[in-house]
Amino acid sequence: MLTTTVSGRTWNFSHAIGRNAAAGNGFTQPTDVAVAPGGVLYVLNRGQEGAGGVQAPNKRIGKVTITEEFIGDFAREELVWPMSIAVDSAGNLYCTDEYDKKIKVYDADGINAGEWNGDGNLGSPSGIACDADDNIYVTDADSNEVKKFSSDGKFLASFGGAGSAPGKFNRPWGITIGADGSVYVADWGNNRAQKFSADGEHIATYGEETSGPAGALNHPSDIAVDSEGDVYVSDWGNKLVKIYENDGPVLTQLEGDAIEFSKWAKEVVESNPDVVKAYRRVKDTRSLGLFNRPVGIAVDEDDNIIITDSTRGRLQVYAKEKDYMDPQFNL
Amino acid sequence: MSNREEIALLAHLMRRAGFGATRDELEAMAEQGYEATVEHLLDYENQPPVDEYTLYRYHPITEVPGGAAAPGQANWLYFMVNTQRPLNEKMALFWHHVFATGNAKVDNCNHLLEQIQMFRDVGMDNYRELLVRLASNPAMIYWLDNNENHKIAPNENWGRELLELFSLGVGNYTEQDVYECSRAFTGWTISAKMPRYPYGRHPWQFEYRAEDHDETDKSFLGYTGNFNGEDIIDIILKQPACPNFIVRHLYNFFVEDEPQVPAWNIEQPRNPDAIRVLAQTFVENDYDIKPVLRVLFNSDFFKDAMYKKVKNPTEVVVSTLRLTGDLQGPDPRLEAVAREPGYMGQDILDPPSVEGWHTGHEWINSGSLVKRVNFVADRISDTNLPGVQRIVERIAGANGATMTPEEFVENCLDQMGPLPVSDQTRGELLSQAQSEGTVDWEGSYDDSARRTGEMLALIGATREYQFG
Repeated sequence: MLTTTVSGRTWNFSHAIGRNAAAGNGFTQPTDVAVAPGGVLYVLNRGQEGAGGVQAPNKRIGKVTITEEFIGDFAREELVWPMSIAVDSAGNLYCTDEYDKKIKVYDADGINAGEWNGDGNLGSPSGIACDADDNIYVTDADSNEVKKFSSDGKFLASFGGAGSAPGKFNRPWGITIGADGSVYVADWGNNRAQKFSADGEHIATYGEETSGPAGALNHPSDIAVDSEGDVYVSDWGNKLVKIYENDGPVLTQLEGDAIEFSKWAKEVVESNPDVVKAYRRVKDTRSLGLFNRPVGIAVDEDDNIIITDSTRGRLQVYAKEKDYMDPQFNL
Repeated sequence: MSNREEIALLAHLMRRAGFGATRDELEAMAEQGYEATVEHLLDYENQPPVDEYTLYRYHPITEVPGGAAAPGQANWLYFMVNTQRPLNEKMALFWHHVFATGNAKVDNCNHLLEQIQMFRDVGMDNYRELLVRLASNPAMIYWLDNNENHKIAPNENWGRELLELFSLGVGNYTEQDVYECSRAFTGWTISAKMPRYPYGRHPWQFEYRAEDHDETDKSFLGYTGNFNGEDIIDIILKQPACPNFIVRHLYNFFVEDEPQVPAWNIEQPRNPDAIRVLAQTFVENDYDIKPVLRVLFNSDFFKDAMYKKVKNPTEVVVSTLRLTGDLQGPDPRLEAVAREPGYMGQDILDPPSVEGWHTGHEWINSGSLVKRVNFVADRISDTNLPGVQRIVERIAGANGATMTPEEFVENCLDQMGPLPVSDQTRGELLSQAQSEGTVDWEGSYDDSARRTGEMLALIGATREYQFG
């Protein structure tokens, strides 16, 4: 459904961005999205391995706007296993490369600004986030820790460790920092997400319910938090997005609602009469809108929730509506 | 039976019923015994499946690979290299040989992977169920045009291949049977799916359209009635030719190279007694597949068939990777390596035709042989790989601080099989070993390890090593 209302909150499906494409105004296995000032979105395209084994040209970082304007892309042939991206207050972009064990840095124009290995403290850098002071937090799927670095890669602190007890991780992936400095982590292998204080004290766990409106998480890949503290988790294994109250209880879930083509997708379909005919023969197109491996998730300053719908090569955007009024129900 | 003979027999079992095994694994199996190992392979459900989550986290393109074959091949290679259910995976490869379906036409590698998963799911269960699942498999329906098989205009492609290649073999039905069989499968089709543009591949679903099914009587292999597809399969299973045909495929794949399939109606099986025993087991067990495999792997004819089959390219690649410990888990080279069987003549998920691949000696030509040898040599000589390091450790610890060239060659042959070789081959290996003299493990371990890698690569290049 396009509008989801629960517990005094409402999320409206807004629109899709992009299409499945190896170049230009489309995406190839978009794995993460990061919000930059001015409605700009960076989209990390995981792509596929090249014939030589590494660095295929469809691995790239796309730069688009939330209104679906294509600005360009960069970082082609510079990434092996890019997993996540984050943007700092100056507009610099940081990209984890889990194979190279490095953070690759680009400026606001997409120019390569170097890379760092965190003083050798990056075993398997996966998720990445910046705090208000431009410190960089990275999940290390090898050591099962959250690691904190300065923006130029100096190792500052870490917490976590392998295990399933509260505060421990099993191949963690996505990470985000709340407005108050809290650290939120998608604990992929433990099928849950966790919240910590800035210095690593465990505060809350998400997704361990085995019943209820949303059930348990299955290999969550990313996490985001809105201005009111509601928490969004990409439930990658279940192909859903789940929404939690900040202290843990589940609120609802989103299944994906992109039943209308994005602007770029529409251009492709309308330029191909055979595709138009093929769609007209399909009995049930509802599954067109569903998430197929939602991976990355981000919330912008207007509380738009932006999800990378990886296998479908698009983003899905939901808007959290603050003053929603129910329609007349006997219409 | 000596310990060495038992290890050799278990190595033979694992080459055929799986993708080889390391010596450590073989020794653990020897403690359980041969028959217990066969049971362990058959009871694959007791072992965990491949961790698909890890595959798709690091290789997302391989989940819904679309038109290009390589990501789909990478998906299957990952399964074969990492599986703890080797016989289950080998049976999927077996059925892919028999029910050969190709991406060149289907152009949806994701649907081929779905078919392979179906082989994993039911490929060791019951042959009737497998045929029903095959007849309703979207990739197969499109591959053999059953979506073009209409009540008013039958298309015989699926009906013909079901009889000729999937169940009975040439000579065991008439042209009229093909026609009647095809009529019975009218209406077995696929629903229109959402096109690949602009959001990638969507699933295809089997659809039975009653209005397009021919409801009139069919006369098929001596039976007459208003048959539907499943009735046809039941009549096929009553034919003596059916169990004989399928177990000959099993014999050809697991025991000994038979003539190519198109010759089976004119050339007798190499071992008619074995075919008879297996076929009888198949029928007595209502076409359950596991009992036939149990009899096959425990039979003398299987145990006597060591090194009587040319390894298919997939076996060459996967067994080398498993032996050397290369490409374990996610790896950026996965897609590139997944193309290697194709370079050797076996593009998995894309066989040359519905007849599948010609096997046995036809795997070997001047080009494919070079590819086979180089693939093995590149890895088995790489003493940085964990599996090779383990082989070197074993040879180093075999008999003392030094080793004569004769002892060195013998130990290397032992670790590579044990591989029996001709006197001529042994002489050439020995000549190479003698050129550097005594192997001094205590004085020069690293150099001895280098020599070991080179000797293993030479063995991998022998005529004998092409057999499995």
